Amino acid sequence: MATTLDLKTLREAVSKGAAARCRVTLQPAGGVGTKVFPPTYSGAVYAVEKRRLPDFQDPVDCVLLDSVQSQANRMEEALQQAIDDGTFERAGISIPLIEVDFTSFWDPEKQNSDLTNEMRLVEPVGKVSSLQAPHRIADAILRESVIAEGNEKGKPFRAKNESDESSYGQLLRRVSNSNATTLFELCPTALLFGMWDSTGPKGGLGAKFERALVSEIVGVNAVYGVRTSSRIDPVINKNPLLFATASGGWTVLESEAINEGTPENPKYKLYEKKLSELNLGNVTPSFGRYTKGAEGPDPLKHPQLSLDYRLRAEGQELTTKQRFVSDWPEAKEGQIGHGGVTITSAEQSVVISFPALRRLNFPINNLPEGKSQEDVNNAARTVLAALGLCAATLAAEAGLDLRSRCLLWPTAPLKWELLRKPGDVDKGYEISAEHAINLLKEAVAAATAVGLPWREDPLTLIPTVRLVQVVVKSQELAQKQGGEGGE
Amino acid sequence: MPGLTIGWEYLTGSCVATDPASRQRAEWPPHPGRVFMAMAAAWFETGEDDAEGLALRWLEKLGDPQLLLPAGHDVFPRKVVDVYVPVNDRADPYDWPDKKKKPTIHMNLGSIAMGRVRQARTFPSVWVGNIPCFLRWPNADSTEEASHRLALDRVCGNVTRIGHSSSLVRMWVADEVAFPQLTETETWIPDDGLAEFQARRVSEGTLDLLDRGFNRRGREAHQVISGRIVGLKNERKKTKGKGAQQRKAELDVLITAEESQLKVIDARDPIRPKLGLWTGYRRKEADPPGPIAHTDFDTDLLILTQSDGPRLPLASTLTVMQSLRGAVMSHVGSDIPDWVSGHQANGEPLRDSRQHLAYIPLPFVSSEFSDGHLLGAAMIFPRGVPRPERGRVLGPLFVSKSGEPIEIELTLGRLGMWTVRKRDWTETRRALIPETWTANPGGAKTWATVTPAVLDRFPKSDPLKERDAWQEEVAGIVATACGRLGLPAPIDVGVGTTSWHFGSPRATGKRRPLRGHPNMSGATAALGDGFPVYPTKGAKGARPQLHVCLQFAEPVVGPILLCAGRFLGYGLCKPLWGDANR
Repeated sequence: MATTLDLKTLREAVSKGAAARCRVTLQPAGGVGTKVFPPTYSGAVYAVEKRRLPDFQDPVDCVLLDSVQSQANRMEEALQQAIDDGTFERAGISIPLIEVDFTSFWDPEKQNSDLTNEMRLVEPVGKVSSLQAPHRIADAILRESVIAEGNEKGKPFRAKNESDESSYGQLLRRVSNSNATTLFELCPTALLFGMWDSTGPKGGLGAKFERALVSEIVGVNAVYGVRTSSRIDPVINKNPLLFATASGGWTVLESEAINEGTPENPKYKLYEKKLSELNLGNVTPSFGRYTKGAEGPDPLKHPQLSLDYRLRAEGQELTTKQRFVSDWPEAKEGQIGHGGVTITSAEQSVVISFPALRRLNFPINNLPEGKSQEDVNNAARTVLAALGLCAATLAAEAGLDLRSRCLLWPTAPLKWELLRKPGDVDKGYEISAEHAINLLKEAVAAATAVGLPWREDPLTLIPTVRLVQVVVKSQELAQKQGGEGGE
Repeated sequence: MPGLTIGWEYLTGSCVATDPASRQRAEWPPHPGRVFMAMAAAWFETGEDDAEGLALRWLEKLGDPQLLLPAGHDVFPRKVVDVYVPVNDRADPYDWPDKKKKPTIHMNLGSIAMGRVRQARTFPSVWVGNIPCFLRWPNADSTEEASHRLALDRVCGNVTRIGHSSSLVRMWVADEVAFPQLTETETWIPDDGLAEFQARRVSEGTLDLLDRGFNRRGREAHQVISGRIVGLKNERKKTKGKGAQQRKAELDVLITAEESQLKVIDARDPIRPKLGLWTGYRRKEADPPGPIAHTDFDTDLLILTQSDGPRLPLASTLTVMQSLRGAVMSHVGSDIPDWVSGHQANGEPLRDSRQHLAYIPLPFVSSEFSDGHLLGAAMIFPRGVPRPERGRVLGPLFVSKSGEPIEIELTLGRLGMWTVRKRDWTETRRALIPETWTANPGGAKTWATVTPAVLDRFPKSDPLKERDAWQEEVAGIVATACGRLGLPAPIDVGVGTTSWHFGSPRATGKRRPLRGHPNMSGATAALGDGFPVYPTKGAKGARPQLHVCLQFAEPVVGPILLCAGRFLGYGLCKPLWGDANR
């Protein structure tokens, strides 16, 4: 029977063990057997593989439902959510955070006369934190920002020349596996989910931390379906032709269209899009299809087509006997593609590597009496492990709403095993989000007690003028292009 | 267990590692060089303990290890897809490839109303599950192993991943190679001659090579001295007042000294680690569970698969095998070893039941839909020929210096051109797997020919008038042939013109009277398919060629090639699983 995990056990496991691992079975929120939609990759294909699994005699088709990188983002999002909704605050704990504040540039009423149009956001961006930026503390958004308050107000967070940048940036120049104290203080999630300061002052030689937490979700025993699309417009019965107007717009009236011919022999220029592409008019019911770049086997097709035949001529059998065997059909652009899968279940595996944490060292200037540097290191590593447990449990309890029509739910509480040597059987620990937060709180308290820094208030940055201008420009372009975005 | 064994388990069940030759393929089996680099990384990043360094340097000298892995059919690659990731070096949320054209807006980053350029990346992986993997050096000195064991165990304990950062592992020095129950496994052993795949290897000096490539010390020293120079220059700038001139002069001397020191420091950027040495590996056949009878032919077949050319029936065996033999003899040249030619130096054939290189067809037979067409061919070696010798003689014909298989074109007269190449180790078609023809390791009790056995001598009895006696005589000839291969005499020999295996043609073609040509009295025409007659030197007529089914008292391990045509693919037996009665 699973028991609860205490700080002492976690600390011991972090200092000597191999990993904390959790394998959980998930089901679609719509119930067992409900269709779910995996992520599509270039060419509208799924990432599929076979696995030999204990409950199945033969290898089964599996499909990737959420990748390692995506899971890391979701866990950070769960931490951000817990910060925003006050979960951490109510528990009496805070998570170090760096925020870039765009709020002052959202001025739709044009009340701030100091803001030029180039600096006025078209739509609000709000605050972007180190838990949301793709490259965490090393992200370009933070790099292109300045300190918002305090003694260093207005100083670039990062700069090419050390003398020009903030004290935080200067400290970040020196972070490494052997000196991770600054990251522990400012952005501990970078130590957990990995980080590469590839575009900082040192370029590609910037600090690189490998991820210590890996999580992935796959659908087991996948049967592939198809996706249909159609639209019946309540007001437009037949889709008319669209013509381009001189102002760059569209019209159905020939009189307003650009005439590329002569008045006697007019030739009206067609608009670049059809009516259906403007989300107007009717769309003929059709199946979803593979797009450009589709490659690999097509799971919708039968793996092998075989045809055996024997020739007979005028009742007499000839000796010719042939068999055609085709290869597994490849997914090709334009062919009907897969649209969703039904699965027996989904499996999530979360692993926190303790050797990866043990590579990190956290030197501090004044060691408390009776404490060694190794005590400090262990305290920091335990915080990171607890933070990982916290992120995973918060994400699980929030429900894994991976994308449209892919909401998964754990069938049982998360049960963690602490792996040591092969063959050592672990009793397993059930950990709820509340328990994980308490564990984190205890771990942080223990860490700060040995002198480790842990920033409680967010470090606020303000975007540089050029960053705001870039964002405004991109928003204007996006608006001009119909707000469709996409590449 | 003597020697040294290092084991690891993929904690997520997936091995994420890109093949160094292609970003679209996962690296499996894992290269020993990659495993060593993971251990070296653990050592470099955890303080470079002296004892651990010595242990790694000892490991370098141990040579190429064996790889003990889950069976290939239990390891499944994931479809490699392009993943578009937001890059960090360009903050632009829009792409403007051509100033004259419209810029492209990149998708928003999740909930943030900002775009970011994305680049395609691949993360090739294979599913391994919870089955451990092992590297094994069976000849490692036990005293040395004992002295380095603790240090190696520490290094292993610090290894976080093998491959990509999501390919987390736990690693240990193992007392034994222990797989979970009922796990099917395979062992890969170094073999440069006729390797099935090439892997990056470790050699003496690899650790130093990695150290030099990363150049941590050089860059750190450069950073320290640069810092000192900046400090000195700042001090010089601030130096004022009485004695300033003298102090500045002193500082100038110090700065010059530091700068000259800086010049000789190699502070180059790290070089991506690249191991240039490769070694070939081949899959080791499984060891039999206990003492078991086997033929004098080796169970390790050199298998060639058809890569181009017409679809050939099994009846064309002789033509294909003769052409293949011709290609081999032509490659070997004038100094032909007797185990290749089957002749002694004086031209006499090998005597005393000594076997030599045999060529066999690999047809699609034995299943409900089998039509007997050839999927490839194989070469069978006498057990007595050492593997390095096989590789030395035949390796260059089939494998290039870089380890890639070479296409061999066989000219088959009217049948056209047939191209074969050495089998890819990932091949899954049963006819192209050695065990299909050898029943290794467990053996089989019942075997039947897929190509007819050409009797070594003519039976004295008349097959039509003295059927029982003839059959007994044929059984005796076949039993003698088994004895010549080193097998016990079968307890029962079935004889017939039709094969016990689906898809195999009759032992000889049937004839029917030719009708409609009154001027060709007595002429016959072919009826149905059948093997052409095996040519026999000096004999007055064609020797009888028959399909046989052998029943042994105990399982035996093949390959079994019977009677006269055995070196050119006739008399090839295949285990008959299930009912031998027709």
